[in-house]
Amino acid sequence: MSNRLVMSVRRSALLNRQLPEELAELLRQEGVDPSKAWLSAEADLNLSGAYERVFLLAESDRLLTVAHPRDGFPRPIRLDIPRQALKEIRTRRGVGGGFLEALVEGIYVEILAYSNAQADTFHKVSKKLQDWLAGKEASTGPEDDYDPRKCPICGMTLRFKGDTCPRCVDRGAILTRVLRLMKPYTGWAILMFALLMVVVALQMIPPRLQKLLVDKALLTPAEPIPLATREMWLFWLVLAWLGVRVLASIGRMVNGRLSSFVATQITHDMRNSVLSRLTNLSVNYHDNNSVGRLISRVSYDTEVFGQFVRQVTQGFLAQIVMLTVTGVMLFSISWKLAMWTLLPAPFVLLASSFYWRRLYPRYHRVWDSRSRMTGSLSSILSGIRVVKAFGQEHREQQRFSRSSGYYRNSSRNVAYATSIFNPSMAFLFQVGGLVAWYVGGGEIIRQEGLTLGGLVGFSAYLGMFYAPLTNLTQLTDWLTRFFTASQRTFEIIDTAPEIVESENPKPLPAPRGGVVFENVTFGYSRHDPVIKNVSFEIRPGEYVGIVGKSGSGKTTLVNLLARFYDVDEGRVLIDGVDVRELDIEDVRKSIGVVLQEPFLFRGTIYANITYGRREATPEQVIAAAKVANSHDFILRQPLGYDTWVGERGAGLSGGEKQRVSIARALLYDPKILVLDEATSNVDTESEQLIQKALGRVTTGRTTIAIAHRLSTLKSANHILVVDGGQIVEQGSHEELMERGGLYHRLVKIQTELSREPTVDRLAEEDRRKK
Amino acid sequence: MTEPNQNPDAGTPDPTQVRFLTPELCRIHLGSHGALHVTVKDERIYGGVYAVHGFPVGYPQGYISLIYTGGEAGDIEIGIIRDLGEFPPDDAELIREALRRRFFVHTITRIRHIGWKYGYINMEVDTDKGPVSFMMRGRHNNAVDFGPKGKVLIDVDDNRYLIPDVEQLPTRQKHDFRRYIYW
Repeated sequence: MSNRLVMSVRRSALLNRQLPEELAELLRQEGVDPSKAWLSAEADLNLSGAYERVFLLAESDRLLTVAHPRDGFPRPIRLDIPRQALKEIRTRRGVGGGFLEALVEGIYVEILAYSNAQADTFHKVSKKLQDWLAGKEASTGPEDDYDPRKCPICGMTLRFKGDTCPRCVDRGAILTRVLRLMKPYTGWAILMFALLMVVVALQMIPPRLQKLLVDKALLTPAEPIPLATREMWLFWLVLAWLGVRVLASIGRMVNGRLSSFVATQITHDMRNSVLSRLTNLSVNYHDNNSVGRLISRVSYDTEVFGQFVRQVTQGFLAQIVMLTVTGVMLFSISWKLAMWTLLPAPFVLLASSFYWRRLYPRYHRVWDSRSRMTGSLSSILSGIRVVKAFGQEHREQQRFSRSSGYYRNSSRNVAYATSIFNPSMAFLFQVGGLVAWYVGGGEIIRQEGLTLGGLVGFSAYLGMFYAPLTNLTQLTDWLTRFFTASQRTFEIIDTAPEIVESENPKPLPAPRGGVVFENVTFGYSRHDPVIKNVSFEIRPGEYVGIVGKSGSGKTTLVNLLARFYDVDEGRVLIDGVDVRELDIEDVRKSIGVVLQEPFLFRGTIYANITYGRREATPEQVIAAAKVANSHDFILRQPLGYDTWVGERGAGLSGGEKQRVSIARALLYDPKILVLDEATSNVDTESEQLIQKALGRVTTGRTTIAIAHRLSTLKSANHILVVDGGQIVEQGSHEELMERGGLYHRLVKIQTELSREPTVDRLAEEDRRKK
Repeated sequence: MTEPNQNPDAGTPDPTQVRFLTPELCRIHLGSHGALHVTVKDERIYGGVYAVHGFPVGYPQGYISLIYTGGEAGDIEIGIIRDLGEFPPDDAELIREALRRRFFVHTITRIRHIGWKYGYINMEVDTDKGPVSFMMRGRHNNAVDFGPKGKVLIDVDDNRYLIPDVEQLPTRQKHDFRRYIYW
């Protein structure tokens, strides 16, 4: 066997590692020239599971592992296996790491160990070495260094290909983005801000009126003023005061209504944006995020955007404006007195900074525990039948109680901290107020210019000054919640869908239904392929069965065809075009899927059947239902096609749900129909009805049937037998039975099992006897 | 050096039955290229064997499954060692070595620093394999229970770090740890 070994001039940093010079020299003394190796990879563990730099060298005729000599290993060469002794190379997953193994003399020998940080590298190495053993071109180059699961900026491992790197996501832009969200409401925002300024200005008037009231009307003046004049001052000043209060209240009411309108609208828009992104994200993203957590993000986190609007118009921005204006007023009355009132400010700043640092992680805990509680509740309620069937109500109550307890404790922690902090701050400000009375009172007694009216007005402004200052100590609290929740929301919006549309997608206007899998390899987890180098072809209109044991990779083939996931290697073609180059919508339109667990949505039967084709007429819906053998039972429902079904089709039997889902698939009119164990969950009578329906449905379209009951595949043109992620047999039912392989064994087992009496069979026999 | 039986299908264990391996029934030894071999009395020699814990928390010294790759049939269990203590020290050490290789887990002996940044928990720790810094996502499935008191932390690369008993950490370290990983 000979193959071409290519060492690119441009070298791979991962697969052409430079050996330390000292080690290279030791190897040269042993007659090994490291520069001759076409592949050189570095592992971080030795075979005892301890950290050590161990290198794998692949020369044209042998494989070596080398490392610095140490106790027990006096020579630098740890393993030296000639190529002709190697039959296969594979990776094997351990816990926290893995192994590169070689099949030598009939047994798998561990060549190298590595931690999970290097799992991807050695998965690549394994592939290269397998090509090398198979006599294919084996080469390494800079392209081998590309890893879509690493952040291109910081190199951190991402959860999946295309995931947003949380370290590199632009946080500084959060506020800008929130403001940008408000752009459509710019006019409203200006109006609200103007109203806010008017209200603040109006609120500045009463203390001035108070000053005049005391000095002009209430206090006995040094020079006598007629009683009538003082009573007139009293009347007009109180009237003016009332007028100002009325206007300020109206201003606040209008502003409150406007901000509520805008706030609820922005929250609504954000919820829609987040859900829109969630529905567009790939299946893999949803595999990695629990439903409870996502519900929490859509439902609760988006509320902070509405709160932001309220805070800007009525909350913190209003408080800041009020603080500034009252500050100016205080200084205008007595700058000396105003200076005294600022004494607590440094303490406030220090305390706020401490509060920010200590509280931040606690809010994450509150959010996390709430998500966990929601997830727990969702799990219990979704599985309530199983809970009841196994009599585990009490245990589930306890489980929920634990989750709720976590939430209680974390919320309590935050609340405790807040309840100490806020009153402490309020106390500090009150001390400042007392100082003002003491110092101001002294000025009046000593007649240093400040009047009693001035001090009363000053005190009124001081109340207005302290109120926002006290509230502003909660600004950090609110900002923390705001940035945390908005960051989580933007995280979803910024997550790039893993399945990305080609820049110039090719349309598939009239699909014929030809399917080709070309050397396809794919794995859900990073280094554990589920499909291994699979190739097959399905011609348009063919009925193809896929059989195999559970976990053999049958459904994964369909997931790749529908492009729920992208292949790691190879290609999947529909009508000769790579699915990655096709318009995703066209791909999905050309494929209809009937699943083992038919998923019906809450709504009418009619709405469920027309789910993929809203414009269908009642005639078309009835025709589809007839073909799917569901028309008769639908008519037996009290409201026929307008009958409502509950969550997941509650109210219909398993067979009925399945037939509705077949009608749905049929109305969608796909050129490729996938039946994923469509009859494995129903009784025999329903199965017969469904089989009859399917017989009619599959005519004229490419049908891929993943079948549990092999008897249903007798009419298939072609059967693919999948095992361990590979196609191990293919042919017609008769050919495979003759071959006597895995298919033959599976059919035999099922035939044995089908001889066992079942309720359906006994009922049938009973009917015949009668 | 002992070579495996030439006939790989001879005496293949029945996959539906549980077979407990005892020192009387089998011998553990190394074969070519340092691969772990198991010779089962009156049966055959199994080469390229690896060991898997059945209950790594509950019974770390027992219920250890010995597995080999049997051609097309894939991985096949030879049998289960109920108690490693029953085996001669040399045999038991070979199994422990195989388990150490398979379970690459750092045992944390000291938390030097723990902090939160960008939704990630950053840790600097001393472990039985030396000082390590790592990042992990602050989610429940990245800090899973190890028995009633322990935690296994899983970093962004899927590497594992074990704290056998959180309560045994010094007060300050426990407090800091609980602040971020409270579940």
